[in-house]
Amino acid sequence: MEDIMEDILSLKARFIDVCYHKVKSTTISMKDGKASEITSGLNSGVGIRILNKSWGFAYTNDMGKLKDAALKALKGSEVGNRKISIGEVDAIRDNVELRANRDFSKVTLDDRLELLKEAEEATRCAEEVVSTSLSYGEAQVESLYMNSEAANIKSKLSRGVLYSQVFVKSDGKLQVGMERLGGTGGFEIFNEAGVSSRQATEKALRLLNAKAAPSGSFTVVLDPHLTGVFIHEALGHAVEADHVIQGESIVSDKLGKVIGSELVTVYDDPTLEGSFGFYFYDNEGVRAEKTILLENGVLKNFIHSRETASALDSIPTGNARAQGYNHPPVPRMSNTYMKSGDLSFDEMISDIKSGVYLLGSKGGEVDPARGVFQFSAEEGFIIKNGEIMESVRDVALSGETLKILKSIDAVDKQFDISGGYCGKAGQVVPVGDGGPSIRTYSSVGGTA
Amino acid sequence: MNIDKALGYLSDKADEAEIYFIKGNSEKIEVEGKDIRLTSAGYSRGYGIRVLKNFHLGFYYTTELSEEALNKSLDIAEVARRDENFCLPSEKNYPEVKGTYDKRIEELEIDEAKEYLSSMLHQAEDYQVRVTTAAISWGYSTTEIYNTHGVEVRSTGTDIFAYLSTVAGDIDESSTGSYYDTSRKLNLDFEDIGREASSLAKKSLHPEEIETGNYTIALKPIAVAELIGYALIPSFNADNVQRQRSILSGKKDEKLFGNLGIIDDGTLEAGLLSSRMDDEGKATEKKVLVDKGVLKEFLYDCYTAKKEGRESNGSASRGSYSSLPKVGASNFILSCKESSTIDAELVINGLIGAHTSNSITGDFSVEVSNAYLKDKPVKKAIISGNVFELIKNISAFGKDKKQFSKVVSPSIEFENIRVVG
Repeated sequence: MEDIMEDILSLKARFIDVCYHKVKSTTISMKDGKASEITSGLNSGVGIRILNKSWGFAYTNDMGKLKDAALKALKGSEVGNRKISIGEVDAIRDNVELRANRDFSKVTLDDRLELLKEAEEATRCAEEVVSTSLSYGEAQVESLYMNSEAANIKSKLSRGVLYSQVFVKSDGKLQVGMERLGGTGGFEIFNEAGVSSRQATEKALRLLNAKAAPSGSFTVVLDPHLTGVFIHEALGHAVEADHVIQGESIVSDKLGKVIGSELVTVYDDPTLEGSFGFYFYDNEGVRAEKTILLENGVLKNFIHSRETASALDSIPTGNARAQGYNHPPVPRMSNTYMKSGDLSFDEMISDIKSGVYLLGSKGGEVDPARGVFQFSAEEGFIIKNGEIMESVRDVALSGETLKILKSIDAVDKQFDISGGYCGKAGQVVPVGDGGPSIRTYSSVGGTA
Repeated sequence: MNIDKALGYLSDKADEAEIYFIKGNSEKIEVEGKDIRLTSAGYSRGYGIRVLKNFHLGFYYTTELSEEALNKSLDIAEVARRDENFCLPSEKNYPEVKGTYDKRIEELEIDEAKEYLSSMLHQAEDYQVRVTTAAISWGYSTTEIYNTHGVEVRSTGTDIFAYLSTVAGDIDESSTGSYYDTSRKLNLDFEDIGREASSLAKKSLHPEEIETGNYTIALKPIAVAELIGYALIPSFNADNVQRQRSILSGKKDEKLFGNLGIIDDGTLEAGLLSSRMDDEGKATEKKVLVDKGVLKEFLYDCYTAKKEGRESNGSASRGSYSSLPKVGASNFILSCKESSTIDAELVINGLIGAHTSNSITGDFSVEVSNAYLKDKPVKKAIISGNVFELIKNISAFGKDKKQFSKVVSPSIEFENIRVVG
C-alpha cells in the first residue's frame, strides 16, 4: 500500500496528500432483550487530495481503480480558480496506537452479547417498561497518512458506543428515555454499561409524570450535557474557520474582542485520553493539540485546517478532520468544553425566583451566520424560589448565541463530557462536548 | 469470487442467503465565495451478505467478495439469536418505474456542471448578495440483489443535487438564505435555485420581533418535509407500531388526520426514492396509508410482515451496503382533495432543529428560518405543538407540490398555531 501511495505522491502538483483508512466494525442491536441483529464488516479505501488551481479530491475502495482516482484528482485540481495556500507544519513521521486495557480484537462475540444482556436487564427496573432498544457499536480504525512533504503517519485507535433507549407506558401515556455511553480505547469503555442503561429507564419514568413545559423567556440552568451542546452548536460551529471565511459566522470580526461574560472560558481538546473526540493527528497530519477558544469571555482562536490557517494568517490547530477516506478534511471540533467555576449547584440556583432547569440533549442545530440556535432538552424541571420543583418534558431552548454567552452569570463546579456525533458538510465525525452547569437567560419553547 | 459462486457456497451452508451489491460513481463541485474551491470524484462498491441458519441471522459487509467474508456471515449466524420471523423474500414480478435514470447525468462532465454552477451564482450577483457556499453533486449507482429464493434483480439510477447559500447585508446587519433542489434527471432549474436562495437572504434583511401568540401559518414544502420527516413518518413504521412505539398502534380505520391523504409510493415516476425493488428485493408498491383522514396501512418489510402473517409492502430500506435492511418510507406523498392559493399571515420557509422532534408522540418545538409576517422578515420565533394536532388544523393546501428528501407536498396552511417570539 505504501508503495502505491508513494507513486501517487510523485505526481506533479503543488501539494498532494493520500490517506488510507481501514475500519473494522461490529454492531449489535438488542431489541426487548433479544440480540436481534449482529453485523460486522470491513471497509477500506484511499482518498487522494491534490492542490493546484484548486483542490482535486478523489477516492475509491477498489484498489484496482486507485490510479484512475489519482488522475481524476489531478484533473480536478486544474478546474478551479481560487488562490489556495496551506499553512506550514512539520512533516511528521510517526507510528501511534491508542492503548486499550481490553483490546477489541481479543473480545469474543459472546463477551459482547453478555455485556448487552446485563445492560438490558438493568433497564428492567420498573414495571412501566414496555420496550427497550440497546444498540452497540465499535470501530477499529487503522490509517496511514502520507503527503508530498514527506509526512508518514500510521495510526490505530478504537472507539465504542452504547445507546440505550427505554420506552415506558402508564395510563396510556408513552415516553422514551435515552442514554449514551461512549469513548476511545478498548472494551473497558463499557465497564459502566449497566449504570448507563438504567439511567435511560429512570429518565423515561420521570418524563411519564412530566407536564408540558411553558413557553417564554426565563432564567435557565443548563446541566453539563446541555452546556456542552450549547458550546458546541452555538460557539463551536461559529469558530470553525471555514465558516469564518465563508462569511457564515457571527464572530468573524471578533477575534481579541469580548463576546461572552467573563465567566466563560472554552477549549477544544482532542488530546483528552479516552474521550470520544480523541485523536493523535488530524487528517492533514497535524499533531492534535488543546486550543483555547474563549478566555474569560474574550475570543482567542478559531479552529483551523492548514488552508484556513493560511487564509486567516494564523497557525494550523490540528482540527482538519474527515469522516473517512471518501471525504476531504474540513475544520471540525474535537472535544469542546467550558471550564468549570467554583459555585455549588445549590448556590447557583439559590436566588432564582422563577426559572427552568434543563437536562440532557436531544440534539440541536444552528444557523451560524445568523447566530441563532435551537436545541432540545431531554427533560426539565421548574425552579421556584431557589428550589427544583416539578418536571417538564419536550422543552426546546433557542436564542442568539452572543446574547446568551453574555448573559451567563453563574457557572458551577461540576464537570462532565459526553460523546456524540457531529454532522457538517455531509460528514459525521465523533466529538465530545461538556462543561459545568451554567445559568443564563433565554427563550424556551414548550408545548403547554 | 463472483456472486453466483458465492450464493452457491452459502446455499450449501445456510437455509437462506442474500447478496446485496451496490456500486456507483459520484462527483461534486464546491464553491466558496465566488470561486471553485474543490472538485471531488469517487467510485465505490460493496457487498452486504445476509444469511439465515435455522432462523438465526448473520450479516457481514465487505468491499471484496471472498470465502472468508462469507464464512464470517455464517459465524455470526451461529451466535445470533433465533427469531422465526426472520425471512428473505421471493419475488418475480417488478413494476416498471420511470424517470429514475438519465444518461446525461451519468455522462455529465465537470465543465458542463461548471456552467450550471455559474448560472446559479449569477443570480446572487443580480440580487447583490454574497455567496457563502454552493455545490452541485451528481452520480449514478447500480444496485443488485440476489437470494436463494430466486430473487435476481437490478436497478440503476441517477441523481443530481444543487445547493446555494447566500448572505445579504454587511457586517453590522446581515441575513442568510439558502435553497436546494434534487432530481433524478438533468432537469434542475439552476437559475431558479439561485434566485430562491438569493431572494430569501435579501428579503430577510431588517427583521422585526414577532409577538407571542396564535397565528395562521404557512409552511413551505422544505419546512413541511423537515417536520413530517422527523415527527410523522416514524409512526407509520410497522416495527414501531408492533413494538408500541407509535401513537398509531391499534388505530387502523380511525379518522385521525382531518382531510389529509397520505400515499407512500416507491414506484412514483422520477421520485427521489423510487426504484423497482426495495432494499431486500421485494417489488415496490403504491400504498395508501391514509385515505381522507382515515388510517389505512403501515409500512412493512418481510420481517414485520411475517410477524403479522401478511405480505411485505416493499418498504425495506438500507443506509448502505454495510447495514441490514429496515423499514423505511419511500416517496411519502401528502394530498388533499382541494388545493388553493395560500395567504397565511406568517410564511415559514425553513425550520431549524426539526430532527429533535419526538418521533413517538409527534411533539415538536422548532426555530423558524426565513419567516415573514405579512411579508416582513421575522427576527426569531419558535413554533411548537404536536404534528397530529397540527394536521387537524390544516386550513389550506397549496398548489406548489414538490419533493424534498422523502416528502412530496405543497405549501400547507395551518390555523391557530402557537408561535413564541
